[in-house]
Amino acid sequence: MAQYVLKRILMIIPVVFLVAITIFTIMYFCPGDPAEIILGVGAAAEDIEALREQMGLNDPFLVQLGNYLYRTFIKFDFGTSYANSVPIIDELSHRFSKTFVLAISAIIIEVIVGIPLGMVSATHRGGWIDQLCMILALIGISVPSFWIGLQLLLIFSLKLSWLPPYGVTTWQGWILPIFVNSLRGIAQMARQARSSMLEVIRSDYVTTARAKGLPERTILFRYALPNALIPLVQTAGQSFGTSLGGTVIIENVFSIPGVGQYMVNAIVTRDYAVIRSAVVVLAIVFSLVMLLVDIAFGFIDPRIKAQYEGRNRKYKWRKKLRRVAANA
Amino acid sequence: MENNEKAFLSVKNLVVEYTSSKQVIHAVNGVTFSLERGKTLGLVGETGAGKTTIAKSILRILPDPPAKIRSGEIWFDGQDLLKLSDDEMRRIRGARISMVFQDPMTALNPTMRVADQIADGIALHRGISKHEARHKAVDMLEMVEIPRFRARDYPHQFSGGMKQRVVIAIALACNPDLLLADEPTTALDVTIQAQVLALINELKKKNNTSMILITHDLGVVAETCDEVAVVYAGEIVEKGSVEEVFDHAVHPYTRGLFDSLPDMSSTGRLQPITGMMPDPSKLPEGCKFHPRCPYATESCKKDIKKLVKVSGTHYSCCSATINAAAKVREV
Repeated sequence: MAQYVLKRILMIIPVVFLVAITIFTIMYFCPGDPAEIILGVGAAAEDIEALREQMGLNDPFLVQLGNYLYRTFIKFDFGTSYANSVPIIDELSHRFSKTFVLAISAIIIEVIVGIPLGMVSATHRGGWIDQLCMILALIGISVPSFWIGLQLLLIFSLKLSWLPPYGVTTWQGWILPIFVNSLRGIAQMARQARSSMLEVIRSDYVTTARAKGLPERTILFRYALPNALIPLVQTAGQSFGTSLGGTVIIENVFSIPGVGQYMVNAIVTRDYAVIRSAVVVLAIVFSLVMLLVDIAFGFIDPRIKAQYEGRNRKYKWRKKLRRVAANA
Repeated sequence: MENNEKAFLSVKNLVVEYTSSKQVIHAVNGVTFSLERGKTLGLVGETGAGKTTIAKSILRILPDPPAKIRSGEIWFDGQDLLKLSDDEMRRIRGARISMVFQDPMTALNPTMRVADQIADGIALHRGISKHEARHKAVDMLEMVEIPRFRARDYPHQFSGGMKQRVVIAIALACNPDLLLADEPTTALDVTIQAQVLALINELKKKNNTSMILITHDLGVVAETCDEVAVVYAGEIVEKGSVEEVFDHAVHPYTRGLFDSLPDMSSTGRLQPITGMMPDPSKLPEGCKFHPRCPYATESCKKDIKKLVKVSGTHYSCCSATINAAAKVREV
């Protein structure tokens, strides 16, 4: 397992490298001149030309790419924003902490609320509880989050004045964004949990467990749930990864200075340095989350773990044989 | 009622239906049989005849919905299982009645170590600690000839035959009084089949366990069973001791089954039973076998057939052939 994890971590390096090259190339061929953006529309032509020279924008593509990769991966220097000359790494780390809080609390709520809802639905299939859960889930998936966000702001901030209407300077400010951000995830999780539980609940080993006389609770948590967990972890990982990319709508509705907002602003203002850096950071974060998901698979399903350990099998067999010899 | 309480297991007029939104599937239609302690009953019949449904009804593990036990009584050691509460039934399952399932490949939980899968039933029914139960589970594994160092393995590390032996170990872990073996050898290859059957037989004798063996393999029945019941379209069409049924088969369906067995001594072609089993959602009236029966008369198409005594413990529901058989015997 440790060997597998190490291998996977090493594999992240080429992935991130490729992402960086791709995003740099796309940005290079996009119209728009960074020097012009930095100096503003009314700047003199010779000033722009001088800045282009200074930034190395007149160099050939490959030289520029090489310089960019060298700066990013060897010197860990993401450069400064074209728009306001703030170092990108400072801005990103500051904003990322906000997005991270939002994403991690949302994913925790999704798992804690969504999976039990789906399990209850599956075990009461066709009953009114099931119908109610699934209708709620359908609403959760189809209603746009900005609408719910605005409605809740209207009720809890404007009418009742219980919660602050914007910003996350106090803990009360986090309540609404986290709640709204997790709604869709809860719905998705509940639906996924229901369908994968239904599949498992009819399986032969659950019948075997029932034939053993085990109580329903044991059957549900020791036989059904572990086997239904794989697609759920997959969904959770994906949803977490996407959330880490910044939830633009939530961040805008609740005025949270997060990564999503930062990126959208950068795209609008053609702030290429920011876009490039943010994409690279997200690629790293997303790869790490997917690695965590794959490691979780290994712990949930021994068959997957066996695949991971396939290469070490020879060694394991030797150990096992030694044990047999000792027993004999 | 007195009779019911005396017999060890007695199933009376069991009717089971599967309901879907469009149709009702009549899986079991009034099955009656009984079994003494320590004896083995073979339930034979084609796929879809309702054999597994009968066994799962006894254990009350049919998926509900869609399955529903419409009527009938299942008397086991003096109590009607169908009248017990869920909790009382749960205490019988695995402890006094247990089941070996058809497909060992899917019958074990892939995310649990095999010893733990044996141990959880033991811990529950014996009321002992997890730790002690695990020790007993390892003993069970050794009894089915799986070395103890494999106890911490997962099912995917086992071969099909080993998995079936684990399933058997699970079923026998609490020394049940009744074992329901649902085609325990069908999914295994022939050499392993013999091993598994021998193992079941040996363990059964050791613990004086009664068994219902579900199979479509008549050879297996001859080897292991005391009594046999032939199931067709959810009904028992013929039952009796193995000698009675095998040597003097009366019902045309039973005879058809024997005729379609390959015989090494003759060179002629096999004689299959023509036609297909009726669709259980649209069963024919009268005798369910009449569309395929070479001896069918007009009355077979209308009259509902009941089991009639042939001789001793031998019963058949085909009156036409019973009379013929009686005549043969008189001559």
